[in-house]
Amino acid sequence: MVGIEILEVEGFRGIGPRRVLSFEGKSVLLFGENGTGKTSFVDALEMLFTGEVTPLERAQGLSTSQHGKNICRKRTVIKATLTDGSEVSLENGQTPETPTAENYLAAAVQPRYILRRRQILDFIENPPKDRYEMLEPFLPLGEVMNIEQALRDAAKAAKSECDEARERMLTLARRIAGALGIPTPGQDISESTVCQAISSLLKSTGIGTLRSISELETARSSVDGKLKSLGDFEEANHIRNILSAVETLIKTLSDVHMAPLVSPLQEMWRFQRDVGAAFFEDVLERGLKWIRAEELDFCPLCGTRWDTKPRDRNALVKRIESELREMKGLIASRRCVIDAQRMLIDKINAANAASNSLKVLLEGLGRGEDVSHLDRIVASLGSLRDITQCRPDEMSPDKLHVVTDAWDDVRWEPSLRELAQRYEQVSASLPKLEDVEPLTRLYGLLGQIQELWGERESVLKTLEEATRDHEVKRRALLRAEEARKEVVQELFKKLDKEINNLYKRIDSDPERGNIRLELREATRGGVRLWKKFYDHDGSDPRAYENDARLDCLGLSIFLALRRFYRDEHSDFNLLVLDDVLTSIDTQHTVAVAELILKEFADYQILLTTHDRIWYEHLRDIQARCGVKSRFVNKAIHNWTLTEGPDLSEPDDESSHLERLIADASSPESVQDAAGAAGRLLEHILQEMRYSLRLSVQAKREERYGIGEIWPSFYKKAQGRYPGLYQKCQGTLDALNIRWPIRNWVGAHFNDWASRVGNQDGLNFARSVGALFKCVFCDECRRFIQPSMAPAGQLSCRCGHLLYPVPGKEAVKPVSREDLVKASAGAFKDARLDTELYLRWKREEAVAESN
Amino acid sequence: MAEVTHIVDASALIAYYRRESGHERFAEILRCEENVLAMHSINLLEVYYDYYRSDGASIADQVWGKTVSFLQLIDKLDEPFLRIVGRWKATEGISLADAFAAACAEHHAACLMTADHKDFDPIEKKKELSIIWIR
Repeated sequence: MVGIEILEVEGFRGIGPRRVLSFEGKSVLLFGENGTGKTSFVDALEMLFTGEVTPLERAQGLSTSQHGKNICRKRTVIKATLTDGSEVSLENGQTPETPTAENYLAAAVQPRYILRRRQILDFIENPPKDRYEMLEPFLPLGEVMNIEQALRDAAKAAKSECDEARERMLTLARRIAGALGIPTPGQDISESTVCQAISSLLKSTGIGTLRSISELETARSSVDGKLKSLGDFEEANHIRNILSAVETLIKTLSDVHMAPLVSPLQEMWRFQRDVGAAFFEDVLERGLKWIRAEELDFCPLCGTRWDTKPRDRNALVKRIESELREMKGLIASRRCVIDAQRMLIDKINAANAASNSLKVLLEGLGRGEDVSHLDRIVASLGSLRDITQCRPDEMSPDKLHVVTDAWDDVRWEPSLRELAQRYEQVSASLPKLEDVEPLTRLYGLLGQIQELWGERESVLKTLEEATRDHEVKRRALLRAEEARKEVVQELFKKLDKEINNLYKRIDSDPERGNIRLELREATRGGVRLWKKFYDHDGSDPRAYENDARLDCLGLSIFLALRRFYRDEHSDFNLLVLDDVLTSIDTQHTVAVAELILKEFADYQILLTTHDRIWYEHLRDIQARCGVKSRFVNKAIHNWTLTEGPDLSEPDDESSHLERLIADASSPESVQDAAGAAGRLLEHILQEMRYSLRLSVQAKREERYGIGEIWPSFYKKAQGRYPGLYQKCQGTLDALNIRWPIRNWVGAHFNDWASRVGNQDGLNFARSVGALFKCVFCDECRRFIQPSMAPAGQLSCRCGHLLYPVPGKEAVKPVSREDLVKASAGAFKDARLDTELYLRWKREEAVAESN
Repeated sequence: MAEVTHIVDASALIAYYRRESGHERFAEILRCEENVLAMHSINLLEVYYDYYRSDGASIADQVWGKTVSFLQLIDKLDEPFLRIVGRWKATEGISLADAFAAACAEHHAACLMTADHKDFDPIEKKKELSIIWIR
């Protein structure tokens, strides 16, 4: 079995400079007043093993990373050495030396072994769900939980599939209802509703009613048959398209006239005849623009340079402008020709397209229609377009006459009129659109419904399969949960037994007990806590029990769970109880302390307390329970912000002092010795303040120095404890003069220190060393304290140091438990009892009054 | 620990020695390290002579020896203290021994441990003392 050998902490919580808590592989009882850094060691252990400090993580706005560090130190070092040499540190991680250490460190990751005072009621006060979550990690349910989780995931996935299929069903139902024009259903649409709606549509066609969706195909065929009986609707449609195309062609051909082009052409020719020369107004206009904008000194067309004088350029510009003005009529007529050309070409193109379209329709009908006249029209239109597309300058009156005459010869109109007339006759014998359209729409609708219903059937099948699948998985999950609950309840029975065993050791009242953990059936994980209270068996303990008993119950539950955790992790034996005993009332504390020390003797315990009386008491209980050798008892004497907790042992301080006195040869070494003596005296007086109940003037945070305590100690020794004073008078009187030396040389540098002689410093140190021997027992390692009786006697716990009242017999100290054993019922067989005593007392009172 | 916290009267001590009902409560208080139990020598004297009368000198001596091993014996008899005793005796009409016990409790600001309801119930009702009934 491994355990902690040493815990080293630096720069964490209340610990500044490096402090070593030496476990020596044993349990540690750590005393320190509130605010001296006990919990900092507990927090450091938790931080080291788990990576966080629970109270910091739980508190809103706090975190281990931000608030774990000591406020005066930048560097945090936490390191534990285990008994097998394994090391764990925040910086370097873990280096387990043995498999046992590996198991130990793996189990320590979960802080199931630390109980702080403020957590003692957590389990009792938490709601059932949180209780279960607290218990779950203690229960060996790993594989069971994995299976249950897998089933839960599967059931969730199956349910999701069901929901998806149901949603698709609903969408399809809405689409079917929408197509049939019936109200949108809330959920699925029934077959009868669909049949009824279709039947009413079929009624107008005389097809008859639809009894089931399977008859839909037949109904659709019937509609199709009806359509076919009306004739070849496609042919009728085709012919209607041909008629429409003929009309379009006639119209477009009617628009093709040469007159709008001929008139501007003749005007243009007249101008050209008058000018008698070719004229290129574009060239002049552009040249003018270049010359003006660019101030060119050469011809932009041929590059010939002219006179560079601006006067000449201006003259050229004027000449061009004059030329353009003169040719204004010609230019306007040319633009009219171009516009007329464009319009005519558009009309020719439209007629050409209509002609081709008609030709395609006629050929598509497949009746062998002669389309040669259409070819002629197209050819003529081509010739017309060719001449129209010529540049105006290239057109001549002769060419124009030839083309115009050719177009007139086409005589397209009679042939097209004859064609239209012929097809109108054919169309009259074909079915009418208004007769066919309702049936066509119905046919399409039936096809659409058929398709949607088919899809619905497929989704319905998927939904049924998914529902079955979900049901199977849901049941399997329920079974798994039930099985898990059974397992948990069985574990709870074991746990109940353990809790009751522990609780009975603390509170033996037969009217209280029968503690039970019960799994709530209604929820996945919830735990009820029941306890007997007189006639109320199975009541919530919070209903009747006082805080003291609730504390005992909370502690019993924690300890029972700790044992459960040990069952799972046998190599891990750490148990940390941070100041929990002081939250339990005095009546039960002895029983709790004995329980912990006896029942958890095979654990390595870190037990802290802020109560000095309990610290002393627990040391007695260690001896009584036979575990004294397994404990290291440590006291934190003092704490300062910069120095942190002072863990030094009084006898170590004393030995150190003796060495310094022996080596004191120079003023510096005497000062060192005096300083160490001052610290030891402070330590001694702190102990005496408690044990002798010294009166000191109250100070903030109750941090008292030698100056506050010494006068009270000296006075009390003289008055109340003359045995001590007589035996140690020399030392006490010497120190009563010399104690201020501590302030001069021991604490910090000041001018006074330089005036203190070496001999004075040395005498002070020797006196403190002597006082230490008077008040601290080497045997039981305890300071002296007042004996229970007689009054005024002082002794250590073992009686090795004994200061009886002068003139009175020394009484060896006996433990309270031994006193009770020796005195309770010591005269149980005597004749005198309270009844007889009270009778005699009454008789005396009567006699007295008479 | 030297400060007296509980004053024991004769009835409580006899009940404890006889293992009568309430002795557990007495033991519980004695067991606690924080408590310092004391008794005035007059009250111990009362116990002593009653044992002497009922069980003889030897038992009475043993009772004395046993008692001083775990109770602090108060032998205060100075004038101010005796005036307090006198006040208790005069105003409450209790026995002289009970007046000493009450005066001790008042002087030390301690609780009085007793089993004698007849004499101390009226005092508790007046809230003049803090009384622990062992039964």
